[in-house]
Amino acid sequence: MLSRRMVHPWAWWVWALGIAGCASMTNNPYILALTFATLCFVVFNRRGSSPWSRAFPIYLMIAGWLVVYRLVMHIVVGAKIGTIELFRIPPVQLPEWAAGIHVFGTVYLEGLIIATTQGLTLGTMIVAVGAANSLADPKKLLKSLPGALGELGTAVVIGISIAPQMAESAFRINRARTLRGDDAKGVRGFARILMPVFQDTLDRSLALANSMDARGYGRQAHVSKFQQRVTSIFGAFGILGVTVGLFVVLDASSPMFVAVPVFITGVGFLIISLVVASHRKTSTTFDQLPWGAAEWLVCITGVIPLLMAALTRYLDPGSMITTWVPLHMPDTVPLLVVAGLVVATMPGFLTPRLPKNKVRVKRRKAINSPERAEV
Amino acid sequence: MSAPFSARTAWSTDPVLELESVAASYYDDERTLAAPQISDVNLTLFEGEILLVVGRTGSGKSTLLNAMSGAMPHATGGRLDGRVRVVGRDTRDFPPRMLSDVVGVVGQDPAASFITNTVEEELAYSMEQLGLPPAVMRKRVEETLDLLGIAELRYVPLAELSGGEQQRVAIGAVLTTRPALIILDEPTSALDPNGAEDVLATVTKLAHDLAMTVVLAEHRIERVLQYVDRVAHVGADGHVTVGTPEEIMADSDVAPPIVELGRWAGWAPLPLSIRDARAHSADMRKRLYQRGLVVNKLHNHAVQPLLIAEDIMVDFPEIRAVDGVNLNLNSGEITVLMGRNGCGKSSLLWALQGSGTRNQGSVQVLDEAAGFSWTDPKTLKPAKRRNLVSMVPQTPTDILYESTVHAELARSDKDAAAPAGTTREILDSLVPNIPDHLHPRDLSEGQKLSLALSIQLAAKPRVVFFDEPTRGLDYDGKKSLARSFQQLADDGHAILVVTHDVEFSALCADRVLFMASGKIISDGTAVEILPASPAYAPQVAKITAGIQEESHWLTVSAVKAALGHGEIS
Repeated sequence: MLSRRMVHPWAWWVWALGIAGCASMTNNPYILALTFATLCFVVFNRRGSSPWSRAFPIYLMIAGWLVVYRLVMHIVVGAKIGTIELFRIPPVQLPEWAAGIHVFGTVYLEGLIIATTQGLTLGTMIVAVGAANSLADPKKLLKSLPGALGELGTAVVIGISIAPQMAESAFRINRARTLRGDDAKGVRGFARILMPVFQDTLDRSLALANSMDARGYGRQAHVSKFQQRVTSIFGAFGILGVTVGLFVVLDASSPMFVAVPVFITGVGFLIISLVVASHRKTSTTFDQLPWGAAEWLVCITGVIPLLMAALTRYLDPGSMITTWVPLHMPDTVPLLVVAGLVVATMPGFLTPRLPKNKVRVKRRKAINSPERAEV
Repeated sequence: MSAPFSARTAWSTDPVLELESVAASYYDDERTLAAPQISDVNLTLFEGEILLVVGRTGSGKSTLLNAMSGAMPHATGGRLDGRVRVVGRDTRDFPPRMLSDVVGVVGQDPAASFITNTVEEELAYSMEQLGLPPAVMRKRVEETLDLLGIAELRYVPLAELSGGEQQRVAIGAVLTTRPALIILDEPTSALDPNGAEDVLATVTKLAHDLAMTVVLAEHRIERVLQYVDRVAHVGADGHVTVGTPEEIMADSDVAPPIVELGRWAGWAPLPLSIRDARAHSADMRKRLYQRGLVVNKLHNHAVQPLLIAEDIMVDFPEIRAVDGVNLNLNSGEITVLMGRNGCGKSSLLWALQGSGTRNQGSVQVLDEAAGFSWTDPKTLKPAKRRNLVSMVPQTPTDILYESTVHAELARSDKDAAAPAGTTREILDSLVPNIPDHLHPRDLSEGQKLSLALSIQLAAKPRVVFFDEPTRGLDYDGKKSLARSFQQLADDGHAILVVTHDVEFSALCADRVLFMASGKIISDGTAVEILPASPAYAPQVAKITAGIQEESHWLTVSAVKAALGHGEIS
């Protein structure tokens, strides 16, 4: 189980979404901090060296900005509640029709803390998605999708491949810009290179699309127009259903008896469309990723915190959702959830590592060693 | 896999590729069709043949290749007349994806065509799309890795490969489906001479050992001419002539040095390989050596250094790209910097120019405007820096931002604080009559380069760098570029050119530097350095060398001058 191999990308997504669901059910800062630590621990232990793995800090940044944004929005238009006055910005008088929106005014500590924890909850969920993205190879993910999503696949593959290339051409063109004596910084400098970068990226996207075409991507058996319609209609409804369903499940305030059926119907539609469309698929997979013990472990350890959180919300809602008025630190820590999150760190050390890239390491050493040792 | 077509039988002698009175044209706008890029193409290729497609820059070589692969018109748009059949399948009815089991296409820039992440996955990709069983795929991936000698690269991410490795992986990726026809569009344009040799050896192996039919477009014809069976010449008017290499080369408008020399000396049949040419040239060598006519372009008068660099080091994570380089660039001298892909040439250029990283060492440039004082360009603002040291980057369009040539030139005048029309004047002296209204990206490679160069020259730098300026240039384009370089040098500029193109460096270099793993390992006049290295020796030098004597003649014009006038100044 521990020999080096790639863990199935879907397992990582299940794991990450489970943890995201857990985070969505609480505003307890201890739990959120622990969730965040769990995510980081596993990501830093098991991510590879591919561009999307390196993108994890970007998600951290987005999460950070989200918290800041939530705070700023609270100060600007939030409903200010609480008793401990922090500071006061003269409120803006809005016309009659906009009554109920409070712009500025007195900011209380309690309100600020509520806004922060809400931001933290959202931020943690974003970090969870980021974790899934860093751990799961999106191209493999796509490959394990049914052939029905073929047309969509081209666009996604190009999107994924072009992003790092775009960064590369942005770097190159930005460097070349100084050769024309142009050292405008910030937005102005960015605007200058925008056109060349876009043109470059467009050229490369077309080249990639042509290459995929020439290599046989999208070859398929003949299907009738009717079958194609069925696939796309069910597919569209399915995606809609799953999205809405996920939203209501994750939005802890909506009742489960609404959320679950919507979600399940969506999944159902999606499955129908995929089954119909899979008849068209003629391709095979070279390196079929196995679904083994490691995948089960990752999935289960991801779902456990979610179950624990749901259970605790039912048994002891106070420890999950803290009312901050009057101001106090939450005095109970839900042990079940903590235990669940500890379990969720297991993939960080119990799953197989990614294969090593031995050759390249050796080469780099070779380049670095011979004469350089003397210098 | 359900195939709506019958497979080719093993004993079939039917042609692999048939083109019947093919003409291809693109639309100028939605309604009007432009003049055809190629016309009257009649061509039949059989198993195991290698066809070389030649023509001047922008003559429609790529269009011809696209027509063969079905990309024209399915992917590129435009209108295709006539009939193209690959293994009996008409490209009218079969888009490229339905031909992927019989045609493999390898483009100029392999990195742009990679779809997956690692070498192994890339090799398997086409087979996956064909729906081959995993066991077969595994076997073929293995065979292909061995065939191309890239077995140790199996798990390496594609982004980490060197240029030559990338090109070989790209070839391998189309080989795995066992196509009948392989189409390669300038597969060696970005490679150093050794990498190019490897790739071309692979290509000949495919045709000779595996009976694949190969179509190859190439600018540096000298590398491949001796291996090909037939040549298709795309004329300036789009007319395509097909014939044996000797027939076509007798009066082609693109001719490698060996052909040029053969035509001049009146050798018949025209030699295509060094061996043939040497068989013809014994008499020529005798006259050359007896007269002892050594060409020494390096002038002996006192040199005036314009740039002095000492102990330059450039570090990247995990690798030292430039390792203690000392270098002087002199006024009136064209210096060519050569070396393997990834040996640090570009990093050195950027470090010397001052816009790139420099971790250690000093660069001093003579600043005439400031009373002949020495300045480090790195300490200057970019706008001031380009008045001293300027550079034309590898992709000239990286420094072109406007949507018309006119706007680009006007902006250049403004940037350089030069009177309006200055840049246009420089551009006209390089390439006359580039229309004002064109988009810079629509220009030919040579025109793009000239436009970028004239913009850089408008700032009146004394030191000018070029990073791979000959990409996509044909022989005439290279000659006129070499002339422009000479003109600049005569005006007192110091020029440093990074290039892989040995024939081009033979044309223009006064001095040659060789770089390997970050260090300059040899430095001397072109006639001393170039003939000494087997991979980097120009064709004329190989023809005129003795078995144990190095040649002193690098170009056809040097030979002509030596034999014609008896004396070289």
